[in-house]
Amino acid sequence: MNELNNGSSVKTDAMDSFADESLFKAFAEARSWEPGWMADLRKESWECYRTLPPSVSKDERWRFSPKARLSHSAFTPPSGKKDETASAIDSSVENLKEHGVTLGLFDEILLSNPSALESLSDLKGPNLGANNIHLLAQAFSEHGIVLHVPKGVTLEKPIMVRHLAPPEGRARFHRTIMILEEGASATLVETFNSPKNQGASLVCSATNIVAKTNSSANRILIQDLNRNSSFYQLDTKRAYRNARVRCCSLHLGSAQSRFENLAIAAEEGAEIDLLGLSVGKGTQLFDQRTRQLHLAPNGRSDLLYKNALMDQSKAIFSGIIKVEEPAQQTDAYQTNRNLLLSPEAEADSLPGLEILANEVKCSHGATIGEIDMEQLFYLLSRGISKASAKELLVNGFLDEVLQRLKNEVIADLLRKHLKENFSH
Amino acid sequence: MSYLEIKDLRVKIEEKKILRGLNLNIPKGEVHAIMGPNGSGKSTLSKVLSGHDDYEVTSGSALLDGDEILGMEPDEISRLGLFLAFQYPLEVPGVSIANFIRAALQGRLTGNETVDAVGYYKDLYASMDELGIDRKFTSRCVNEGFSGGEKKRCEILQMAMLKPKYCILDETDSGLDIDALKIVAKGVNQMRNPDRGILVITHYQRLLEYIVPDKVHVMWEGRIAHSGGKELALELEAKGYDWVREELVA
Repeated sequence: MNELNNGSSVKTDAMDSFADESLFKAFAEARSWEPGWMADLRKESWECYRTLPPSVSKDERWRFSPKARLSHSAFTPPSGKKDETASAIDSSVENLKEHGVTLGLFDEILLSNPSALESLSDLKGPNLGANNIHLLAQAFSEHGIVLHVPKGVTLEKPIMVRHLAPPEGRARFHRTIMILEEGASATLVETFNSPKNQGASLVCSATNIVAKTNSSANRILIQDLNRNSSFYQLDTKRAYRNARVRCCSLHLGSAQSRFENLAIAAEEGAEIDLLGLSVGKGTQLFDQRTRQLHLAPNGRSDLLYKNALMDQSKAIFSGIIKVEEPAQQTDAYQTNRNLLLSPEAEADSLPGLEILANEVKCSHGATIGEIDMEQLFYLLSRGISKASAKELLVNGFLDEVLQRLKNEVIADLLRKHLKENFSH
Repeated sequence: MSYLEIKDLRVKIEEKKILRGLNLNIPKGEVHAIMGPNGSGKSTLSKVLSGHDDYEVTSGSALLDGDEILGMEPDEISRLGLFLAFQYPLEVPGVSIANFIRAALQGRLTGNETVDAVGYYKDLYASMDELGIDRKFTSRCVNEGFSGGEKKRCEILQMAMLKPKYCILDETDSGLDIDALKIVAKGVNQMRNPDRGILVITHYQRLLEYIVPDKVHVMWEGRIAHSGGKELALELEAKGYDWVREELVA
């Protein structure tokens, strides 16, 4: 974090209320009940944010992105006052305590069991371009979820969590911390919603998943915000020896979203699956940046992102597989497929490899295609209406991703969201 | 009015005339066969009647029980009661057979009606059993990785489930070995009834040994050049199509 504290000048952008000292102080004041280290972390992050050098126009990490649309500066920072509706756990948590599991809302844990969050300052963001937003998430996070599963404990049922967007004009930062100790196993399903007719607000989900030796972490994120919202999903996953991480993000809502996904195979034999699905309507924008980083031998990572784009919607995918020199015998794959359902829909895809080890299996691929007219005719010729036929073809296109979840219950949950999305 | 009645149908594709004044009348309760050499317009006829928009109809009409279907959308034509069994059925990745046929049945319902799931699966399994299709196929994606025979059986399965008034089978025999051919033919024969007209398009007489037609038509350069009884198929097999040409020239 110190690397940015290089004495450059403080932001002078009068429009950016996130840099406004009085607003930050009011926020900190409202949260004076927090442990000192948390206050320090917030302050340090906020100072870092204020001294970030201005963004350069030719930043490769924002290539193809209409960056102004993703700007946060028009929104008001959180007040720091309690809002009980921001996040809620839907699962029964009664018998989890017996097994030593820590599960709670971010604020609750900060109050009742702050030591569970002491590693927070070590949990970095993906920093694939939206470093500023991650600093704000560190500075202004109030809501979110903390899940810590002790050694050898398996949670059979998924933990279901709901997050709600803030009122119009405001920004809200949710932190998700999922830490699985050796041999532990858990599935976390998070859904982001907002009131349908509310105006624009900004939601950020900043997540760190730490999967220790032989553990198995599954995380599903469903973004179903209204189509005025801005959404940032900043994910960092770290898998240790023989750990297995499987993540899937379904993006249906928001006017614009930026999804940065960093996955690190940190020790030998780590396995990571990164799955993504987006359905674009109207002028929705999905900006996706990924980095699969292999540090140790015998790891495997597999990324599959699929975007179905209607109307004037747009998706940008830019991903890189980086295999460091010690990471021999790595298998790493990256696939981005886009289905354009309208002549005005747009997809840009930039897959990439950076391989420093010599004994690896790596591949990347991207496709941008349209609906096959003969396939469509086939469905129509059975009496299926054009709208239903397109829905079937889109769901068929996306289903490959759902099958990779290898969990029919979760796949059906996502199918249900897709179906509802089509009917609106 | 219980006819599929095609009058003076003229169709072109990119300025190339394919159908040149075709007349054909298929009454309910009958099976007609169209035979003809490659390029005579057989597949074009089936696509045009199904509403494919690659073709330009320059004149003529096609009445399904009195309703003009030329110019209608493919899904409307299907719901009106015409079914085309494709020569090359398409693969639909990610869409299971069960969901596909269900969507087709759902398309025939109005308002808030939905397909009754229990009744649907009962009918589906019964039809699959008849056609010797393993019940596991319900969750397979439509035609994906199917053998030629499996694809054609899947077409007949859809036909059986949708219960159309008129069926067109476009070269359903192509790519089938004799065992698969017999199964498909059996499926078609089970669908013969007084309320349904069937048009079988084929190159070869072989299929017509198993689906015995009431009438056989010979298509030549976009027209029906000759019509006769089922024995015409044998005659064509023996003499080849040159004979038709000679007769036309004469």
